Amino acid sequence: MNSTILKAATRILMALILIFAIYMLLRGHDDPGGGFIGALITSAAFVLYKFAYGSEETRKIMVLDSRGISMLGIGCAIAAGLMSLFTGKTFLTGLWLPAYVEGRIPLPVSTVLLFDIGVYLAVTGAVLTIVLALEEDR
Amino acid sequence: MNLTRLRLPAHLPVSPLAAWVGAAISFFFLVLLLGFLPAVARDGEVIRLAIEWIPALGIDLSFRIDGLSLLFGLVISFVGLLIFVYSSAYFRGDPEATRILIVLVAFMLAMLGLVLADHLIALFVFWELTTITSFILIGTRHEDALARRNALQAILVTAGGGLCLMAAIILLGEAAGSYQLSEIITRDLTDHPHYSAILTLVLLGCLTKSALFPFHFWLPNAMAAPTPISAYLHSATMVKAGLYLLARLHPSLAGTDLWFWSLAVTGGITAVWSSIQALKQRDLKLMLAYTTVMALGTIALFLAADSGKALMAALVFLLVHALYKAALFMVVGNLDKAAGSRDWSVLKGLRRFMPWTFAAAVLAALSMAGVPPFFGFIGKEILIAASLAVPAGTFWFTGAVVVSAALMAGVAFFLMTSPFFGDRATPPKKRLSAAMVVPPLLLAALGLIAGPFASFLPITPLLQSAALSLSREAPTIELTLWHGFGPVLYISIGILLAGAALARFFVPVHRVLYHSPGKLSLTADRVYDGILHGLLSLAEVLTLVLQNGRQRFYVMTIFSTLVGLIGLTALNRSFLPPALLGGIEGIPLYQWILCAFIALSVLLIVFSHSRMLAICALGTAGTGIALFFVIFSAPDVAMTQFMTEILVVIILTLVTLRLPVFHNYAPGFGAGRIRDAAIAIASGVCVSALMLSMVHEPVDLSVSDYYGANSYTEAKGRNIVNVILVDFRAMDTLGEIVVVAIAGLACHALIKLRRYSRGQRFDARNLP
Amino acid sequence: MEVVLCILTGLIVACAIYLMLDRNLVKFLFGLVLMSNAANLILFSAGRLTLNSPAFIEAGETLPPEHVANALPQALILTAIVISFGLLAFSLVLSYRAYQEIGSVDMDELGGNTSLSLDADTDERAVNNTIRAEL
Repeated sequence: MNSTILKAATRILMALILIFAIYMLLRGHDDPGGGFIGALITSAAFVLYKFAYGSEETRKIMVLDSRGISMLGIGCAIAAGLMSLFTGKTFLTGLWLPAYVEGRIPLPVSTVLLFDIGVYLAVTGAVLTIVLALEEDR
Repeated sequence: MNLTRLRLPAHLPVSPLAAWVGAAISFFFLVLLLGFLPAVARDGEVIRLAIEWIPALGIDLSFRIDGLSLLFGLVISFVGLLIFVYSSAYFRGDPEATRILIVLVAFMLAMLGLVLADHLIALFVFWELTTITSFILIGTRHEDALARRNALQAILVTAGGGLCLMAAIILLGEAAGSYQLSEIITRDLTDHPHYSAILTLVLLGCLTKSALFPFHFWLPNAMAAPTPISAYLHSATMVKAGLYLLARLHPSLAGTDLWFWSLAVTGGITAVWSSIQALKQRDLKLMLAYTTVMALGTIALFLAADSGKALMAALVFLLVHALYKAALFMVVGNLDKAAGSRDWSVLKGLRRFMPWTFAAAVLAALSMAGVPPFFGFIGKEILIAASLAVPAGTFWFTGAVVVSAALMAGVAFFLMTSPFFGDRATPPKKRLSAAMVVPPLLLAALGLIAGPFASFLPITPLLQSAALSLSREAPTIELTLWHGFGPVLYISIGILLAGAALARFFVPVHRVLYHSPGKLSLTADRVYDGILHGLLSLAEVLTLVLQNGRQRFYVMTIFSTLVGLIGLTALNRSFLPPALLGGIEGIPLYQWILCAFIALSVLLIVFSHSRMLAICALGTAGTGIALFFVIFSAPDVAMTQFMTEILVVIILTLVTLRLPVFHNYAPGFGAGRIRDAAIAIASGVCVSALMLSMVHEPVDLSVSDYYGANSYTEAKGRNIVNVILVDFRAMDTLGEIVVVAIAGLACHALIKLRRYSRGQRFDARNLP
Repeated sequence: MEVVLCILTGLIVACAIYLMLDRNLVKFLFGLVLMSNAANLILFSAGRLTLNSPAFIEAGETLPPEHVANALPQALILTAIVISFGLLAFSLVLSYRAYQEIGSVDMDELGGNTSLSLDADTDERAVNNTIRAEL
């Protein structure tokens, strides 16, 4: 697919979609959104980029290999779960930064957020792995 | 010094270390159990030891040492000790010796566990362990197809009985309200509504294990095992496990006609039938195997009765049998090793060459025949006395005892004479070491000593306390040789005379029986074969039908079953409460339009002839469902659904465009498609009906309410759905992202990691 | 509305099964997608339908409103959607690879080894037969 309009539009859209995806991810705890939705939106952004520029280019703009991303995500989720063990609570108990609990920062910095980020990365990585693998098999 | 002279010559292999380890273990247990003897046998105490095993299920590893278990435990460890000593010589130079002996040690421990266990589940585990080790040991010579077949037969029969026993144990535990034997035996379960089921299942378990009629056939076949194994497992210990359990459960289950007659008939038939079978054998080991079955039958026969005298008789005979039978097996093993044959028509005149084995054979056989002053004589006297005193079925009991005892006496006299007398020019090939001669001699000598000294040795109190475990009113029977003149003594003498006559004319009797035209065409062994064949054929047919590798067939089977099951349930319940259909009123128009949109999209997928159209319709259907989620207050779900729908369309397009066009493999609307449509419509109707009856039921919102109430206070989140995902049920989510990641990796692997070039057909041989 | 949803889901299930019974592998995959959608709808109806009241806690409140939507089935469906996407992707790739290897998407050509037989036990059977002969 070689379309100048698509290529040009993709550059702007890509940035917008990714920002939107991160927004959806971070607001997920209080409003509609969350890791799964953010991940699917992000994947859609990369798929769009792939259609415009091809999978070679897409792989270049991804910092990590897609499989690495999904493994990183699972790592984040497990790490979020392990943190509560240090405070003597059971695996995957939520812990919040005191600053958020006292209302001084708006972002809920917590192991729950880390877990959601883990979900986000794992699903993004998995979807991109599938799509890129299918695309590259010619 | 010439070092080469120190090397062991190749033909003199070291004796297997494992045998001595086994001997040490059995010696340890023997001493341990003897330590309990004064307390249990003299003072009548019951010792109980318990270790927590599976506390969550209330199963603990508890042991109970009373007279009965102590009697069995002592027999197991004492015979075990001698068998291990014997094995050290018997298996000398056998490359498999260590393996065999390790399994034998495992068996011994399992057997000890079985008789000492107090918890029924623990008993069952040990029971199955003995079955498995027995299977391995029968199949020791596994390069021989016959040995494999016999091992398989043994495990199928005994493990099949084991399954029945498991059911029995559960019923028993529930009926008695406890799985502890100590508790169960204090209860009388004969009035329980499940009594006959429990008894039948227990009997199935015990009859198979103890090779009683009609499951007697596996034991002679199990003689494929090496002789020490046969002597230990299939004569002295394992086959007694069934009898042990019957004796153990005697207080709670005995006393009914069902118990009495099932055991009396089974035991009697087994005893007489196998005694006749013993006469037909040429192989001495098989002959002994059949006499073992006879002994098992006799013990079962007397366990049928409820009187203390009969139970005492069963236990005395059990001990007598353990002493002489293991010795005789070892004698036959010696003959086999030294002279290279177990066929009595070949073995002749070995008396001069094997004097000690001959001595052991004579001592053991005299005890078996029941000649005074041997312990066997006491055993037989008490059997006859008890059979005469049985309240019901006296004729049956006495008849079975007399006939089988006379035949046994004949076999015994024959065994101690035939191989040892007569002329033999050449001495046997091998010389036997002391380890092969002492154990049988010791056992047989014990049979001689136990006779006259029964009152002085702790045997009497041990047997009495064992009988006390079976029945509350065990009489104090004096184990003495002389009971005065009376019918018992006359019958006993008659049996001996008949036995002597039989031994004198053994060969002609054998010949008549061997060539008798009355060979039954329907033997139990054949029935077993037939059943096994039938099962295999059934499995083959079922596999061919159900696992035919056709995906469509699987789908069809699954959904037809679904329809059938739901349909059956629907016949019993009333679906579709009419009031529910009134719920259609008041649905706004836009919802109708949305539903119609979804329905049309779905139908379009089914009827479209173009791939792209179908994919688009799939997308619109999914989007419609996403809208549905939006309307009904599920924004998160709607967004997820919408985004996946986009991705689904993309990857479907990527793949299906590379697949061939939408070819219709079944053109037209033939019978096949009508059948498919019928299954599909029926399934759809079933799902609708199920859902309708589901929404008709009241909904339980307690879990959802809990999450709603704690979402902010506990988890500091206002989006309850997201809080459930990442906090309350985070463990599930973790599992799910792992699954998704694995699906991604699997796709990658399927497409990218190909070791063989494109176009080449897959062939496992090409894989590295 | 529940009643209509029940009937609609039944229709989707029927179409999904009809597609899954097709000899064309691609149609089977379409059926799979529809089936997972139907499963989600069944789950959703189990939690009952609620109009215009998503499962959120208002700012300043600590408890959700009185008749809020049932959040539990929503959470289950959300993950089910993603999982079924993974399943679909895997089956698609598998079908694609099967097509590459075998060269057909006809279900009846892809599988069905009717020559399946249990030859491994012939040895044991021979033994059983000889034993029978000896008896």
